[in-house]
Amino acid sequence: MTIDIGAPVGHLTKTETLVDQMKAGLDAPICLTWELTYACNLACIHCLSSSGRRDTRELTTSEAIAVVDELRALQVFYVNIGGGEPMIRKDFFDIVEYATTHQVGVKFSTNGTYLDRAAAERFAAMDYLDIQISIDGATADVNDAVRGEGSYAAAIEAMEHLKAVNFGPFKISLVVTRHNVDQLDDYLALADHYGAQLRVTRLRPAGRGADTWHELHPTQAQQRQLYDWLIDKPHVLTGDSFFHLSAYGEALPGLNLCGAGRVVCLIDPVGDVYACPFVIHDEFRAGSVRDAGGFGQVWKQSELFRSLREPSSPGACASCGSYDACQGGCMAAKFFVGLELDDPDPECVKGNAEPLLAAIAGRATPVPSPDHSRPTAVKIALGPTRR
Amino acid sequence: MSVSTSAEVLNSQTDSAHPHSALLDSSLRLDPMVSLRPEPFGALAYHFGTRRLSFLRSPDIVAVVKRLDASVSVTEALRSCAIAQPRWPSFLAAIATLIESGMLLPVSDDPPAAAPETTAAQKDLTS
Repeated sequence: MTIDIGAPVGHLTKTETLVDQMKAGLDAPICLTWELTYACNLACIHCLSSSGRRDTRELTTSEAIAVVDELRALQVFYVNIGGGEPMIRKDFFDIVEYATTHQVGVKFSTNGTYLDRAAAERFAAMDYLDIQISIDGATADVNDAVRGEGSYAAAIEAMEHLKAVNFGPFKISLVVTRHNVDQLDDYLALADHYGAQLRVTRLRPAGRGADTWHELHPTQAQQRQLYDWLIDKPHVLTGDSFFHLSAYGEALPGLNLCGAGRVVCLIDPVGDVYACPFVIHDEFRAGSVRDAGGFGQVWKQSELFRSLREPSSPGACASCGSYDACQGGCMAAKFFVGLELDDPDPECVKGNAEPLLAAIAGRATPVPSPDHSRPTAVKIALGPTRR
Repeated sequence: MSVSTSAEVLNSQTDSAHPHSALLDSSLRLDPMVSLRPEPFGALAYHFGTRRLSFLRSPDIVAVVKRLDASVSVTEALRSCAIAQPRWPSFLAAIATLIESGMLLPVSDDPPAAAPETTAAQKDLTS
């Protein structure tokens, strides 16, 4: 998440910074992800939500509308809709149109399969709507190795439709892996071709990504390469996802903190509320929008979220001079590789996690839950490493 | 915007070189596309058009911003919110930032200025 903090308005006491206030939590999230369905036509090998099959307990249309009403009352100005593939829901347009006409702006992420000309025209006529197309390789071979055969062509076709109807600057989003990190300039060219904005985010070992993270995550050398590239291109969006790289020196733009339960959270397709989009696991489930008191009660009162807003201990990072820069990194990444939450990030750029990871190698790690992968989903073999 | 009598009052009593004192006579209003959300520290301001988010980091600046609509000038808004004059320069700096980011618009007979271009980073409110 990146917000305009370059020019803070007003004044604070000297001991209290904006970041401290963020850590203590806001009255409602700034950035809320809402996965509308676990159903997906693809079976990406790094899927954060282990999507595939629809969950029969999915929120109904009227429950979804009620969620929008509550978000509006809480003045959550903007939701990030995802899935699964959100466009699979038959009431997708109903929910999005209701939100965007009731002061809840929408950005949704799609693999593009269902974004035909008619859908593109409908989107182009809507206000307060942003679209993000996921592509995990600038070429079909690199993308399809992760997202499945034909998924690159489907995404390109969707972008052609958006371009043809003059939708405006949509976003192209990629998850950085060791196979596509060398293609970042090609991605920029692709985005420029479509008049799109490039958004680059971090691979998390969550969902099915927990199984593939060790083979997909960038190497230390590639992390440095990525950091230098991002510093050089501040116009590339990152969703604040690489704050662990700030330990290299100059901070990347953004809040540079873990927003889980403080400024960020996730509502899943059955209405369960998790601390962030990367920790769909019982341990980080704060409640449900179906509980008495709804989403607002969960956000304000849940024991989990209140504990995440307490000052956190630097733990094993206390003696590292970079803790102020990286804040110990990503909670979800630590959790799913089996580290303690106050251990260094598994991708700590100082290498501080490596002895810990070596010590726990082979031990059982938390099993992502729930898992909606299709039982028949075929694991896709990874292509050759591009170096 | 011309430097006004009230600006000179400010100049003589507080910060003689304050760069934003010319704002004192301005008539401003919150862009209708902006929503304010109360927070313990003040408020969040969100612009639905530019997708830009700003932080109003004290309850007093929130009060002044809300007051602008019903005031003929910034000076009047500051006075009616009982903001002590020595604090005015920081309020004017905040107001200047909000104008620059398109949250506040001048009320005038002149055609409204084009909305400022937002940068990519400002539009990225997403996780």
